[in-house]
Amino acid sequence: MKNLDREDVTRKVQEILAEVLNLAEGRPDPDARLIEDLGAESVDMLSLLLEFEEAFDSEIPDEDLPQFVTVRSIVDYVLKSRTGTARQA
Amino acid sequence: MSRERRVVVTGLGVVSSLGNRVEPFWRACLEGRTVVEPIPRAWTRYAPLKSSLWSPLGDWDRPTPLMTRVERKQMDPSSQMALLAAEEALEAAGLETELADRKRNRHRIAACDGERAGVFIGTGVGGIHTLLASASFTFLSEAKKRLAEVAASLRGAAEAGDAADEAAAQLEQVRSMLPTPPVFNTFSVSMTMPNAVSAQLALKFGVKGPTPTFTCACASGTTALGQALRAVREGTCDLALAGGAEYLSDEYGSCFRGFDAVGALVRPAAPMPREAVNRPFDDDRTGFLFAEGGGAVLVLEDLERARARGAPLLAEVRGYGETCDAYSAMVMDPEGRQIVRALELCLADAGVDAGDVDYLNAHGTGTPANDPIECRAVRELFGRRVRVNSTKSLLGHTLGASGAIEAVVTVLSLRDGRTHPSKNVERPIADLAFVTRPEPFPIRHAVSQSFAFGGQNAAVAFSQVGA
Repeated sequence: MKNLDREDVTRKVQEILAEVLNLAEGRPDPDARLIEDLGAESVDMLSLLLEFEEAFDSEIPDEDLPQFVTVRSIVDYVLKSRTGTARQA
Repeated sequence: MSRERRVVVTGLGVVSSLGNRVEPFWRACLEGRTVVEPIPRAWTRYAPLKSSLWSPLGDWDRPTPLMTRVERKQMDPSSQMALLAAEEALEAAGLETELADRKRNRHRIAACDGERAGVFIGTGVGGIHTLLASASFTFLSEAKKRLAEVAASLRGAAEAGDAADEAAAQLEQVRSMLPTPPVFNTFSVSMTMPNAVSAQLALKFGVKGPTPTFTCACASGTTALGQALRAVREGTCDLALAGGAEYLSDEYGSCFRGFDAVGALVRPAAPMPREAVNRPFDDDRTGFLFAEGGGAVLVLEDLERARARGAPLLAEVRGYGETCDAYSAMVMDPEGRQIVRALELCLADAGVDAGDVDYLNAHGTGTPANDPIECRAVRELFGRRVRVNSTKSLLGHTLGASGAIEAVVTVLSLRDGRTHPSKNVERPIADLAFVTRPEPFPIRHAVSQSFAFGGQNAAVAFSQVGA
């Protein structure tokens, strides 16, 4: 868990999105937008929060959710949070 | 709408310590099997408990397309068990379900308009497992972090020696006594609310008619069934998923402690084999056997509709009666008058004479105070003719699920013309026809009854279809 690189985090985020949002096409594109492209609804965002917190062993404050726009932005958030800079993003 | 509709059971589903499918469960009941184990050792770290045994569920889960991994994390175990039981009941009733919304994994009952279906579920304590887990996270997670920090600083201090190491080890020991979930579950509200079980069944199967939840402690399942009977009979809906679910385990044994504290649980005075400690209606009974939980769902349908689609007609749900002692929140009225009245109301509703009831599935908890009151009421109304057993003598007490599981037993008894023994009735406390062997006997009419903390009494009458 300590040594995840961008590729690892991207793969994990894609897997979680595909599972939580029941994506027929499997892993989403890195630039796919959660709401507009992947059909995420507000309750899905709560599911995602729970899954990301468990997967990356970190607490995600609700106010950070607006940063979760695309697959890539989630990956950026996770990588920053692991280096302790996400809250300043 | 006709007010004369007759209501039948067309499908059954169960999750219990004796099996998570109806037929294995029923075979185990007829064999008089029971599961009695020591309580989790961790629970004894938090309280000086008087009782030391319970009936755990074992491996109750099974894969189903109805629940994804993500969905399971958003459902209390009570809801998950009810969903498994409902899946089995619908399948047994010959009611196929089909995927209605792939993204949300929502299904619908193919042969039934969702607006003409209902869900009637009883539960004593709803999502208490989730509530306790969420509460422990809220209360303890920051304190645990602080304990870890202090322990680390003690070990890392420049003057650290044996004493500092010992203090750090003790802090870590304290920390290990405070289990919490890894994260706060953002779905805790929708998992904890008592109506979660009804809501989850309605969501999963697209049920858009009445979906009430009944919380009458140990009478919840029976009450839910009775109210479902009324709704189908009166034409509020054509089909009802009715039953009960309960899950009572938590990391700290809090639910167990509550019942233990009032001396309600089994506590044998002399050493005896584990499977002998749970003794409803026996002179040596000492309390009820706490069960980890369970769930049961029955499919109730309008008889004509069920007949038209060629459904299995397992039994008719014939009548329902309910009363309240208004005597004590925890103790049954010793007079038992409202128990008799609930039975009288039930039989009058069913149009069945007490003398024609062949089988009674008793409440039969095994507490010193309650069993004699129940026996007197049964004797007063039914005499010695009716055969009596306690399903709790096998399963222990599953609280809000018990009435539903016992209804399943009552229907299976009607179906097969025999029922399970009332376990450990060696020195009966009353002159009643307790079932000691699963031998065949004619059953045309049967009653299942439940009494609650809070004083609620409920009874449901079942009959052979056409009797």
